[in-house]
Amino acid sequence: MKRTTRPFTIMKKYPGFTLVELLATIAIIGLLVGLLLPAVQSARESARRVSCMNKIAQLGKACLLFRNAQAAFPSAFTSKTFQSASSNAYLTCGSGMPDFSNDQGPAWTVQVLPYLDDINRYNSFNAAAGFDGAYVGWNVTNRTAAYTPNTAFQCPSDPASLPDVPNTNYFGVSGGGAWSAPPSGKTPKNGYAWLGTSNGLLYYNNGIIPINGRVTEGSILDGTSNTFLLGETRYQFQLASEVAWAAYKPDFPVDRVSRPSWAGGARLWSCSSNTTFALGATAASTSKTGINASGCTDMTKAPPLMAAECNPGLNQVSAFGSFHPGGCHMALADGATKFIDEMIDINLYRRLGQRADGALMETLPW
Amino acid sequence: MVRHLGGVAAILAVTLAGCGRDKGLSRVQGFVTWRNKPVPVGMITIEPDSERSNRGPQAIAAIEKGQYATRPQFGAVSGPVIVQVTGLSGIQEGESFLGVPLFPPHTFKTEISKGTSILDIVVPEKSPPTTRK
Repeated sequence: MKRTTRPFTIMKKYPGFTLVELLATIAIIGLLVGLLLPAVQSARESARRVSCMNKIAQLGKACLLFRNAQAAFPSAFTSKTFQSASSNAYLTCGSGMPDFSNDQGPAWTVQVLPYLDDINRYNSFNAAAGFDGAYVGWNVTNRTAAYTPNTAFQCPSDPASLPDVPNTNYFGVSGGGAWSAPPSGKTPKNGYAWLGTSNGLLYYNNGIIPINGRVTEGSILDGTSNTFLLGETRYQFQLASEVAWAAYKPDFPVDRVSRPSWAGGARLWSCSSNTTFALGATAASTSKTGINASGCTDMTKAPPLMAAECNPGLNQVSAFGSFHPGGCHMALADGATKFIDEMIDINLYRRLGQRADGALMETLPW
Repeated sequence: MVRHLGGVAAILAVTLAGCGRDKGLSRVQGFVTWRNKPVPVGMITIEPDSERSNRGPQAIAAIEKGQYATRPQFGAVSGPVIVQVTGLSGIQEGESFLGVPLFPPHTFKTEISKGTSILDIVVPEKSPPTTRK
């Protein structure tokens, strides 16, 4: 009798928790918080992803409205120099290589502005004055408008998407597929290339938004539901500031500072490094890698400071990818937007970037 | 109480293990040489060989001072693969910040085993391709 009542009386005398009970409670709370915190964080990323998806969906629909009004999809940008140069089957690297940085028309990002309900921004550009890919001082007329940030092109998950940065997270898909140098005298398939003694530049023309494109819906033989129109990227070369660049190259004229914009087209750096600002391609052989395949997460450093995998010399700059875990968004030519798993088969991914490869796709990722 | 801890830990381990996605990818690392010297800067891509019915994502790795390794979260697919090696001189020339290419992209086929594998690459000497018009 006494043995059973004694502990009870002690508890009545000293009401409270024992140390073990307290520790157990803290441990349980800690466990619950540990479970909850990642959930809260991923809910925040999930919200950013929805916003990002909404933006690429709007851009995709703007391209479709453009097609309805003008009977063709927008070109990545237009360039007479590129047109005449690419009529040759082969172009040789080295001096005399056509530099089409200085005769570009508006990029697709500018062409679709009226269909994004942003006619005022469209009117702030002067299409006749010409555009350029990168040089700040190349074209004074359009400089202010080009370096005015446009949130319609900024994915909130990208740390580079700041209120004062004119970056873009969305590229047009100019094409895709493996590419290798064709036998002498044969026209290259899938795109145009500048071939050097050991390397070359490659611009695809087998997608929906190539340079000088204006692709009609009738030429999308694979079907609009089976072809990428736009893709999300985290690989737009984006120098942190002109100051950072000037510190690196004080002898570099300030008017040749490379500062990309959402309104830019492409820039030919040299035969072993080029930079595109408005168009991407789905994975060629060495350059233009698969979704998120490049480990580069910071495209804002001056070249000597950047990681090798970020360097334009290795051509990461026209690949697709995102800061969302597991893949990136792609807009299809039928107006749909999909989140594409980065584990997608590389050859299927390449075919999805081509508008008329004729391949039967038995395993679409959607 | 103590003997239950093992059970609780086991349940937790099983539950949490289910959260990660097993991508079945292999870590590949190695050393790249050309003309008996390490390749200063470059890039390696490893992709499944579709002709030998292998499927999966493409892995890339940067070469620095000859060494390369795939990223921990983004390895190469195992089985028959196509490997392509690009090498640059690492000495800036004009606006080519990483220098000029040393050799034409070197492509070869091989097999990657599951888990970690070491793939040392010797880029063969080739006659430079003739400049074409």
